[in-house]
Amino acid sequence: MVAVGYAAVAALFTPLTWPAMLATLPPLFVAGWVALRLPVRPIGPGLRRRRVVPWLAVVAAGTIWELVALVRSPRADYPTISSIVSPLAGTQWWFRFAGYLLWFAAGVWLVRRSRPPLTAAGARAVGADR
Amino acid sequence: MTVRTVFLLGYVVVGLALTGLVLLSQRRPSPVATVTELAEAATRRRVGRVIVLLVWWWIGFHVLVRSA
Repeated sequence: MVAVGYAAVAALFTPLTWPAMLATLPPLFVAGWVALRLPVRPIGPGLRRRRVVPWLAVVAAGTIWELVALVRSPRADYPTISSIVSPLAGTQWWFRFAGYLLWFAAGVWLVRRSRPPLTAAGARAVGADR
Repeated sequence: MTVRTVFLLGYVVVGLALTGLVLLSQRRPSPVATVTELAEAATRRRVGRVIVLLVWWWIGFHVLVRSA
């Protein structure tokens, strides 16, 4: 409920203003405070490189695509992801509200991933360390 | 086909590729790591948590604050 209320208020702030910028800082501080207090997890078997490479390749391709669009102009011909969402994010409260909720959910999910251990592989790793 | 269409299609292709990797990662055994495995590996150490959270914050900041 706190997150929903926070998102509703934060979404009221017009983008590109100080209140809107400051509204993104408390969630970062809270998430950082919680995540950094959690202990470092034991070293597990690790991910094999070949299972990670496909992710890195797609993310790199998307990043390069975005950067190519970013350095070219006019923006109408070379859209970036942010320029695509700008018409809604800049004018629609409900879009920013939904965006804040999604952003919070992603943050909570990431912080929970910091807890030891959550996957079967991680549980096996801890078991092997004991 | 305009330049704009090409760039928009590029984003669609990247999105479809990410979706495909998510689906592929659900198979057992999977040749691709799951998103959970990636996140857990990235956040095992505190420095990794800081980097991951800064990236998370920047995405929110960029979309919710810098877009207008």
